[in-house]
Amino acid sequence: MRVTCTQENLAAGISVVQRGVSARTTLPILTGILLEASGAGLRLSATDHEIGIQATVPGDVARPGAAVLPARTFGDMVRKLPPGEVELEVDTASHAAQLAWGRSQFVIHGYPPDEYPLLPETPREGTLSLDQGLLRDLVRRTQFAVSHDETRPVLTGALLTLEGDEARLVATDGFRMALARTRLDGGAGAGVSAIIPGRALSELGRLLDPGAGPARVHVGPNQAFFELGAVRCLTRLIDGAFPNYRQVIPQEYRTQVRVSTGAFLDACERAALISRDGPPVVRLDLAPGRMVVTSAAPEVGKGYEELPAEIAGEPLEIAFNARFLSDGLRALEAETAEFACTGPLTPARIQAAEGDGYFYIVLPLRTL
Amino acid sequence: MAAGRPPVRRLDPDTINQIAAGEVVERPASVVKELVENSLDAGASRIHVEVRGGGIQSIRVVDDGWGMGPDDAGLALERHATSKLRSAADLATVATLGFRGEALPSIAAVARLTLVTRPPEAVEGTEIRAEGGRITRRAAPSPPGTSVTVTDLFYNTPARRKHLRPAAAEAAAITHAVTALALAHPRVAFSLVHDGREVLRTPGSGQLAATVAAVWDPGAARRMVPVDGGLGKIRVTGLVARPETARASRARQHFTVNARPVESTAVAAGLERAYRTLLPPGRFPAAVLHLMVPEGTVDVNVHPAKREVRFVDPAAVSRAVELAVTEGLSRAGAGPLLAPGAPPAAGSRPEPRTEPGVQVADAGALYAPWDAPGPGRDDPAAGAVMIPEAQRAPVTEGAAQVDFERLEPLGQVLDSYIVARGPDGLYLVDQHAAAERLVYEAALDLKPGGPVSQALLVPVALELDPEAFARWESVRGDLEELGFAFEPFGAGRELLVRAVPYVLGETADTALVSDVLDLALRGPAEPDPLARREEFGRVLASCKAALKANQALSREEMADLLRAMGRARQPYYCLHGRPTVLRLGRRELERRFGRG
Ligand SMILES: Nc1ncnc2c1ncn2[C@@H]1O[C@H](COP(=O)(O)OP(=O)(O)OP(=O)(O)O)[C@@H](O)[C@H]1O
Ligand SMILES: [Mg+2]
Repeated sequence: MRVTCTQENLAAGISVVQRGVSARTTLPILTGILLEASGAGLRLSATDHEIGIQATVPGDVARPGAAVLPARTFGDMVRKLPPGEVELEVDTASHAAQLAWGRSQFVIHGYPPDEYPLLPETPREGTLSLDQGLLRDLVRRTQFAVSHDETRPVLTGALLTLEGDEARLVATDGFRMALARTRLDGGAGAGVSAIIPGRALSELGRLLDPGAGPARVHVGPNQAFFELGAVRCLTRLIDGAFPNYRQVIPQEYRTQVRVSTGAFLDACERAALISRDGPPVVRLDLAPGRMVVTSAAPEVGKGYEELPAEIAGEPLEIAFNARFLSDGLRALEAETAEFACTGPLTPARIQAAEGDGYFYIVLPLRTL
Repeated sequence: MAAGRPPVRRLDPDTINQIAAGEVVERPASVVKELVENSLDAGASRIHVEVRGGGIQSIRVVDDGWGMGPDDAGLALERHATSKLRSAADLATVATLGFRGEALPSIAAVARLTLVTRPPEAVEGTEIRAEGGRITRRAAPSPPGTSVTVTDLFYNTPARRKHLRPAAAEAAAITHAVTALALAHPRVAFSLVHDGREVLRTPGSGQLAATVAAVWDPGAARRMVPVDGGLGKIRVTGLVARPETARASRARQHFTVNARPVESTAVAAGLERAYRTLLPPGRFPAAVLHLMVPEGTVDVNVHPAKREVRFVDPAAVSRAVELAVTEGLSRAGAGPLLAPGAPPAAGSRPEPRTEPGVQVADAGALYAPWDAPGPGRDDPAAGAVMIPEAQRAPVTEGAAQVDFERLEPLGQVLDSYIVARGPDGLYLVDQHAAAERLVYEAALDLKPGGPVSQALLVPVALELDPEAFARWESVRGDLEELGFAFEPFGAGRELLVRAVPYVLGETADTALVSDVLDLALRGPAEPDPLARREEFGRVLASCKAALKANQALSREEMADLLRAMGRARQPYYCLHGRPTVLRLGRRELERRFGRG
């Protein structure tokens, strides 16, 4: 294998895929990056068996071939090279890669490329097109509600459904739930539904580039594929049944509040501040014409805030985990939030006053 | 007059004495106890006890007390002759161990007794011999003090003699009795010799720790922490065992009330309560507790052998013991590594408190080495890093309590232990044990305004078996107080759990909720509401903490856990009495690297 490319392109490609390299693995080869030179240029791949990330770097391929080089050493080395042309030549027999620039060169020992796991190609059939900016919004507005509790695997991912002309992403940790949806342009999903691991979502959130044209998405039975121009991300899907969220969302609420999203969010964040070392409890006292937000931490202090708000329905006193409320409010993209709740055992809802299809459900706390 | 009906007769004095003796003298150990008590009442500072054949052959108690003159010595063997009480009114304020004037005559009624005594100021001593009701007195040489020799116990009451147990068992009972008296009187030097072999010797230095070390084993004192506290006018002092050294029996629990060794359910209950979150059922701490209670609040005259006392307010006594012991345990600080004492001043190197030549100098200078807990532990893993007793040179570390705020997590080993740097050494924290303790405290210490319960997005549906369902109905209120919210549904024994205790946090999935309720509803519910809550708290804590076992933690999570431990009421022990934190201080490090 022999290929020439610029240091800048190569370094950028490595940075993209390096996040797919397994941090803790017992298989030494998985600490490496797979390099494949072909007519299309130089393709870099990394995988930890859960997710895989690929990036294609433009270059002149003098001799096609493949190599696996240790990600740390290779990446750090390329980043330290001077800008300009770099030639990479790999000896097929010894797996040694020679990195040459100007009159200098380095040799890095690699692994046999045929032992590297194969990343499946994206199937051509059943692929949807979705604006990268819109997809990034879906991820950003739901990903935080994914559970980190490994004992409940289905909740450690978000449910992606592609149905009709709508894409939805739903995440819940059992105490709150975020649901974002967006319109699909071109190609209607035929009842696709899969749980995407939270880890893949956070990588996707980073890789998606709103300025870079549409993403091509394919959800297979075991894997999902996201093609983002020169970058491709694939992930294993989480097995199992996602909780039936539709069933638990109330249609009616006893008390409805319209309040400035920013003011409500700030109040919740202040409440969380005061209870840094304890449970972040925020208490809402909702009565016609009045929204009082209080918080208290025995050793630290307490807060009382009155927010201008429109309140409809019955007066209600209710408590929440301030962090949960803040998360949902931060995901809103509207100036005015509509907050609706019923009682200590019933889900409450946050959404934009002028609905944009996004909503956030959060379960209250009971306090002493 | 019916033929054969026996006439009523007055008993002769010998018979009266033998019957009375039955109450006072049950076995050789009671003779020893009575004689030693007399020595203590006579202000002795050394008491030597020598027995042969389990005390059945002979018992000799020698003291250096104030002795008796010839006339008193003669009276001493008469029934109801005592120097310690003048009227019934004195009973309320009696400070001596004896007060009935019954012990010596009772013993003399069932054995051959020789008493030789001389007050220190007298020139000549007196010898009294009693045998079969005959008492002889003569002048005899004697060292200052008193020596009483009792031989052939029960020689004239064969029925009682038959009931004696083998000599070895009687010897053990004697050892126990002398141990109890020695622990009650650390100022008095006791020695006990059985068949020519010394079985016990206390220094009489006045230091309880030294006495404990002498009567049990040298390590015993190191495994205990000092107690000094109480409630109102009740003062409780002594030593109690670190929880991890608890034993399977109560044999090492000794209580005194106003210097009198007693058995007391009130004291035992208070002790038990102080350990209730520290020990699993069936484990008991060693404890020596001295209670001083005001005159008039205790009746000592309720048991023929004076083994029991009656408190006017037993609940207050229990409470005083509980408070004092709880305080002692938490003041004594962390696990076996840590030595009680003052915490080090900020930034300063703790000054080692060494007491040259003294293994255990006083209760305040107790210490324990790195991997201390020895006997009494049945956890096989505990022995893994044990080093021989001899190698454990005394390590007197200055600091005691852990300043959790100042611990800086360095990392985690085996996904189980947090390694942290402290101002005075290296710390290891058992993350699972610590998590369990924290969840337990959080589950029970509900604060006004604090969160109790977190509602679930998707309620957990459970179907209970008939027994569990019946129990659920009886304890539903308790579970709801802890944060559960239930909704029966369907016609049968199905439940919807709509909310869970806040402490279960983000891990409340179906499996956890059903595990918790499964455990909580297994077996009969505790009848006492407080105990029931604690029981449920334990269940919550162990289920929740189980998820924290063998889990990689981020630096942030470790720091949070350490900070939370700093706020815990009892951060040093888990719910099973195992330590949660170990410290490797400068002196210990120096010693292990051969620099000390
Ligand atoms: N070792 C001793 N040294 C000095 N005086 C003693 C000693 N033993 C007994 N006496 C004297 O003999 C008296 C009788 O002793 P005895 O044990 O029979 O009765 P007590 O101690 O007064 O009451 P109790 O029956 O409750 O023990 C005591 O009151 C005490 O004055
Ligand atoms: Mg007596």
